[in-house]
Amino acid sequence: MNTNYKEWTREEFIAFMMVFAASSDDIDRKEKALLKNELGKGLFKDMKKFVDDTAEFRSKAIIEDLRDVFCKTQEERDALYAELEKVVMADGEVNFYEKQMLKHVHSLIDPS
Amino acid sequence: MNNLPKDWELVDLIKLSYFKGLTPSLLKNVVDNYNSYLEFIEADLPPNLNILINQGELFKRKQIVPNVEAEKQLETCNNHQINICTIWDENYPLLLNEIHQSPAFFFYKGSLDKINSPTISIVGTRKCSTYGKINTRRYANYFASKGVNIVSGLAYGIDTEAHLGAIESGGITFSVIASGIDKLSPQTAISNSEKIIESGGALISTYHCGVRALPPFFLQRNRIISGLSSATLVVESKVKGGSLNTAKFARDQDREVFAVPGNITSINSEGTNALIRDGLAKLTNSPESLFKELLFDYSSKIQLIDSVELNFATKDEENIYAILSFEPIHIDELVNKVNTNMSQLLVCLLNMEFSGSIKQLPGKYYIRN
Repeated sequence: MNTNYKEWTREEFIAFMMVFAASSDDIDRKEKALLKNELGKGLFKDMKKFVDDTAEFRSKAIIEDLRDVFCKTQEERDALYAELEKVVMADGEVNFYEKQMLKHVHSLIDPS
Repeated sequence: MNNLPKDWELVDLIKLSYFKGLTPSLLKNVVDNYNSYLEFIEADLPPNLNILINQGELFKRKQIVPNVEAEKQLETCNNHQINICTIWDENYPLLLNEIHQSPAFFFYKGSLDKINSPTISIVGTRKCSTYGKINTRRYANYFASKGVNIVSGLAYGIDTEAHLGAIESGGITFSVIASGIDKLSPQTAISNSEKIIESGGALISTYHCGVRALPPFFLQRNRIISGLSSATLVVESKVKGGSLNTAKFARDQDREVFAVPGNITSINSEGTNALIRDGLAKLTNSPESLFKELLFDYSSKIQLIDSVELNFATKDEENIYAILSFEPIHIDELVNKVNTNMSQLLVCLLNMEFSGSIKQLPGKYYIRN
């Protein structure tokens, strides 16, 4: 995986968003299974390491830089958010930390 | 060691922390009013507690029994040498205990032995200027050398300078973070956290292990930073900086707030200058005067770094030091002011840099260290 996010593909950006959204607290078994299934084991592992090593303010900058590149339309943004909700709700519940994360990513991918 | 009342265990406290709407004061109320977690779970709530709990509309008492989560938290704590300090423990910070909704417990890694020594928090912007860095170190050096703890948030910029300044003066520093203690990032924060712990301080968090830092958590964390301190010093802050939020919490908690004034054209000082202008913080222009104002009844443990390092090898070095200040001076300007040639000046400057009395900045600018 390319660690220079400015050279990411759409697939890598979506992978980042999914792993980031799932990382509000420890990624549980069901969330992990869904992510591995959607992203493939290799990309999931690399992206998890990248997300773990990236400070909050940098993650925010990455999303703000890339959302207009890969999610230009409202439909694309809505679709991405729906994907993120699916990941977070993979274990059938949304706890306090996950709720905060969903609010946060929503405000970042859809600032309007 | 568990100092919880009656038959309560740490794991029970963590279980309670997962209950929706159970505020810290409510949680304390539950622990004080029941003999054990089991008794609380099985009991019909008495009218007085019932009223309190009903006020938290989201609270559904018997819906969530997060036993698995709580056990997992304790296991993570054990694996990462993370401890839990409860409000029933003797080492619970006295100042924190005074604030509204003081946490019933928090996670920490390191030592809380000195947590009740005089403490100030130093906060400011992540993208600070050289002026901000230098002044943060000055204040942190001075206060730490006087045995005053420094509390900050382990972020880049002013926070980092405050922690490292305290450590280099042999002081104790505490970092309050906005994530689980096991979820620190990036690598610089991890290595600084190790230094904080090695020097006798601790990392503190009210967030469960495994939790990643998010914007709302930073604001909540700032409340703990000010709550642990008898005064908060804002060194550099933009108008919308989180440091101003810490200053607001400090005022609400009836703690003193001070700000270092800055250049009126500097974006990094807009927040601090506004605090002073609006009467929300007192101006401070030297650590010595701030120390006197705070009246810490504390004798110096360690001699100040400034006075230790002011031994000059030559008269030229002494002259150069007298010309330099905390405002950067370019070498061309310096050579005009010192009665020596450029090559001799360079030798002096190099020696002074080695002795630690001055510092070179990019572009051949020099300042006092």
